[in-house]
Amino acid sequence: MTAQDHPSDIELSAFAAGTLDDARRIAIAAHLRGCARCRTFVRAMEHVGGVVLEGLPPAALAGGSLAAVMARLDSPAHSRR
Amino acid sequence: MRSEAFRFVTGESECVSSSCCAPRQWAAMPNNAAVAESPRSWEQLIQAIATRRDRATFVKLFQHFAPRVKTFMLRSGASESAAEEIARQTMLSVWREADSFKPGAAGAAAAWIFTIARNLRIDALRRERRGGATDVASDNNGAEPQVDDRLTRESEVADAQIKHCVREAMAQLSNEQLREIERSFFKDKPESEIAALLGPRLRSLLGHTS
Repeated sequence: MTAQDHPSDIELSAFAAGTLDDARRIAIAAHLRGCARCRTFVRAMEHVGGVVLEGLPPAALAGGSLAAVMARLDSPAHSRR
Repeated sequence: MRSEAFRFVTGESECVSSSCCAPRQWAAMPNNAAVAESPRSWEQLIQAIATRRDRATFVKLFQHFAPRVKTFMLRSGASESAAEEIARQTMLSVWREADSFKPGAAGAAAAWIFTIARNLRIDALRRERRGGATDVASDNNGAEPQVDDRLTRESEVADAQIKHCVREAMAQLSNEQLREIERSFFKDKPESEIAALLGPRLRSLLGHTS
């Protein structure tokens, strides 16, 4: 694979941030399957997302939010189809 | 804007080994009552869920991460109800997929949870565009073919090392640049600023010189 084949840092960052449209996202995912170097960069950007997430102030959850989730822990993942 | 999210990064630039990052990261985190009560890392808690289906442990994770996922979604433009539902769905996925979390991924809990929430948001937006249900709650099955986000967990560099490089790269940024990164995640097109601020540094730290 040549260097020109790699998506740009901007596109890889957009993949990590989740802001690509479907077509670009699928195209980059296909590239990532075969490119460990780009996977590593995307993974690094996902860690940046994790750092940002971790540092956010907590929002108030709706009443009963935890109870509602706890009640669904044992239900199959696709039971609500 | 808040900058405390990044203090632990800037404060640990002396950290030279990935193995030292995980325990100190959480000790240094402000605003983090759940961790103050427990010396165990989030990674260990996720593993406890995977191995023991431990509900009490899940509650700790929920109380820390669900409100922050909701904040992330609200700032990204999600409605109150959509942000709430994505926060719940994210934590359900943490419970259901805990066994796919790699035990060796030190410091990776927040990144993992970020990717889960991100993917749920992508699905919700896609449904909105299709003119289908706009409420995530009414269609939460991810029936769309998903891009397999697990692929980015398999790379030629160990996850702990990647995390370490991220911390190093962010430690080199000014506080204003760190705040810019935080803000940019909630814009329509955040990637340009993130890539400009962190791309070259990360490439260098990751050994991606070309």
